[in-house]
Amino acid sequence: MSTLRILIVAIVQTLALFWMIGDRQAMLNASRVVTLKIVPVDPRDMFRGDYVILSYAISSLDTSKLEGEDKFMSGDTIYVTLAQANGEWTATAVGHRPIAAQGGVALKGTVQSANDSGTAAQLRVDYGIESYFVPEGTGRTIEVEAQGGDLAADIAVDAQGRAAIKAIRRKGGAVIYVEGVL
Amino acid sequence: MRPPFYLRQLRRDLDTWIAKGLVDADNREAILASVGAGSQVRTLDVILAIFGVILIGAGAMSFVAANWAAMAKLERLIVLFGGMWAAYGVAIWFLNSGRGAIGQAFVLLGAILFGVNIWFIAQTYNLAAHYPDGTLMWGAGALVTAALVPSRAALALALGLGGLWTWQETQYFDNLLHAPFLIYWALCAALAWYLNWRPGVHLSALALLFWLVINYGGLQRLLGWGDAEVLTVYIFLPLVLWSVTQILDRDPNGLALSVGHYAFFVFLAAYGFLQAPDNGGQSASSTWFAFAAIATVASVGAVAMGLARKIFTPADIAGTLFACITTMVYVFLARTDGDRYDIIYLVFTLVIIIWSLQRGVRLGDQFVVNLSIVAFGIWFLYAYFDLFSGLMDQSIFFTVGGILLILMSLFLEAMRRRLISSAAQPATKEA
Repeated sequence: MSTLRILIVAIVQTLALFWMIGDRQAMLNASRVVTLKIVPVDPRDMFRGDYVILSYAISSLDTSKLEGEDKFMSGDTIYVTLAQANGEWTATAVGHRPIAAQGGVALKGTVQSANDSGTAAQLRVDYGIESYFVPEGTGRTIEVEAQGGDLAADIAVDAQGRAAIKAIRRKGGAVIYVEGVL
Repeated sequence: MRPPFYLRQLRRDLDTWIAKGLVDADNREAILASVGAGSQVRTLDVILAIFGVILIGAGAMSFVAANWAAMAKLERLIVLFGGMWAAYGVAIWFLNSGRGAIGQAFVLLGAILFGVNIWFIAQTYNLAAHYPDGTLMWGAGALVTAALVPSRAALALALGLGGLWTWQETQYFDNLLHAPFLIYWALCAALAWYLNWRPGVHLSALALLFWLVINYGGLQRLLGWGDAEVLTVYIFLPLVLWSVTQILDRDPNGLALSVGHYAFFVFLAAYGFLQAPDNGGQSASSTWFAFAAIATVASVGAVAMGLARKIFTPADIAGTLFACITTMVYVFLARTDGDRYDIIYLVFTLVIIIWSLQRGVRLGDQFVVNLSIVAFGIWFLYAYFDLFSGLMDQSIFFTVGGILLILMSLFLEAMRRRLISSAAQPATKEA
């Protein structure tokens, strides 16, 4: 009896772990992909052991320059609508629910901080794509390239607006890292 | 469910009764099983086995971490899943060989490795989402292990992870009030009860206390009350619970009484702490006043029920009413200038301690007696430091304080022994 019970535990836990991998792969296979330029961050924060901290232009938002809602609190779920202009994806609208736009993509994030000035707010938004694990010893190279503004990330966005880093590329298009199952 | 000291005594008594022919030897295990004793497992075996698997787990993870960069994703997955399945496989082998303690230790190792796998997979696939979800997933896995195997060690792990999860949600993600923890906690507590595992029930109680403490701020923001008003929640509700549990279960080894003890501890600690916060000059809110009124009625009502059943006396009605009214009065006083009323509040606290002591002695409740005496010692020291620190020369103040401390320790211990011995007498007479 204990054999069967422990086997059930092991199977349930294995399925849970496979679900983590499968869910991520489903996101990466999403048809909607946006390319975001990686912007420099405070170098003291950037490289932490085996992963690098990434920041994007859409990580800091000024709601007065965007369509949609103005009032957000720290911890709120936010949907940022991105549209492509002159080859770059930029934020055009924000809301507590996705705002549809022709050719646009709504990205789901969490408000990390909000400085409310009454009519607008300066928001710091986390999309779950701000850290990236890299092979040991390669973080420094990425750090230098990111500080020079030479990197971009391909972000896959699923139907719910969840984002995942699909690849990191150099300015010319050369791929540094690409995500895969194995 | 009975505490370990009771089970040890019962085992000794059973052996004596069997030797005297009062009890049939064939019934020994059945009697022990009926009070939740089960088969006797040597504690040292369990402890050594658990330490052993933790060391194995740490060694395996160090190996994986040291060679992580050199491994391809497939190799990493093989190591991670293989390690977890190997742990469960060894557990099955030991359990089927009749070595339950070591088998259980490997079940725990499997549950630990499940969590390690979550973090390594998150790293491998760059899952940087809301990380407390990973802790919750680990805790849920440990809880499933605890329920299915069943495994007490996995339940302890699940409770610890539940505490970590609610800590991460409240401290790092600014949750208003982390209510989902209560569902998780209820499942753990129910399993501890079902497994007839007394330490698990205590761990559950401690986890709930931990949640209550770290969610103080969240509760305050949710209710929109001042510091002192929120603290009264931790006075009123345990006061009701303390009386209700004493009505429910008069068995000195009963579980309801243990819950009542935790409630009494929270009540006494919160009441003693009430003089610290203030309401920042704000008047008490109408919602708080409604809460305080309802809680007072409930507290007194619970004691009145006990009075009808001859469990409580009019002194308990008076003591409960005094606690409720002084709590409310102090919230009103605190909004003006709390410091001016320190001495009044010291007197209030002393009355509550004396009432608790009297109630503990009358009900033969050693825990209440002991805790009340500890509370009196703390009250005495606080009063001495608060009232006399500015009035004496520093050297005299500390010397007198030291002498008083020694005398008080002797006096309190003598008083505790006398009270416990007098509290035990009614039970002896009844027997």
